[in-house]
Amino acid sequence: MAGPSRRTLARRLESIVDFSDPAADLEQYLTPAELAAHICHLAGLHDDLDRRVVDLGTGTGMLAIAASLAGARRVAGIDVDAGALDLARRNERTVLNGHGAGSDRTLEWLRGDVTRHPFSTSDATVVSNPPFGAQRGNRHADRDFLETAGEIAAVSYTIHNEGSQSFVESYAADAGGEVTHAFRATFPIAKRFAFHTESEETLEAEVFRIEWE
Amino acid sequence: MKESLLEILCCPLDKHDLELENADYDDEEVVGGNLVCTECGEAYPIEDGIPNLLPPDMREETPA
Repeated sequence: MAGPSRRTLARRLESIVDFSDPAADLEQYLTPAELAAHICHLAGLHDDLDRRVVDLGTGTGMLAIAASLAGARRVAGIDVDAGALDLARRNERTVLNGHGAGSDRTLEWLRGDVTRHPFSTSDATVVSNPPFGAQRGNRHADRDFLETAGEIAAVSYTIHNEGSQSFVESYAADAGGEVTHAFRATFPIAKRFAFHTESEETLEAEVFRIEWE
Repeated sequence: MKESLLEILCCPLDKHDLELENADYDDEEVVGGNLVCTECGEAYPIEDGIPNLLPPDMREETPA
């Protein structure tokens, strides 16, 4: 079943609103609509949306909502932050309102810690824009998210910062996974925190599709 | 949350199954109640339809 085009997806996702008071330690920022559309469109082409989709560290809900729009029937977004989940639920209503995800589709939100996760499944499709570990004390945050992805997913799509390819490939290989696709994306990120000096910076990100054993 | 979400959830502490107790429903949506671990008995509250599956040591104190 063909889902909406990548462009249609991106346009619908543009109404998703960002954090008004982001928490620096959680590296909360909006995943660009274009990138979410790209990832979920690709996931659809690989039939990865036929599985349950879990968005680890869903934040604004962007990737979870994108997966639902792209055709995933069962999607769950998890976040440690209650404020993020309120925002994600509001964004869900804004984006899906009137387009009825339809009674055959569910999009659920739950609160939990990705590194001490509450999932029993091992064949989900994980989508995640984890913290990059840019903040002090958070250095291996994306590694922790990958570890959880390896436990609960058959396939994952994760977004990392520039220069992560060798780390991600070797991590996946050690955990019995294999990187099947890798591509780059440029993120515009608006100035969010006091320590950001430019009014708008761009960030080079890398996206990986991993098949887990 | 929908009850079907339980299919993929477990206790974050010991990974055993969870059971829904004292559920409040709004149509098919579970809006309140507890998810209780069948092994350790830890109860995870469902708050405004969102299950809170943080390990108990990460939970905020309930405001008075």
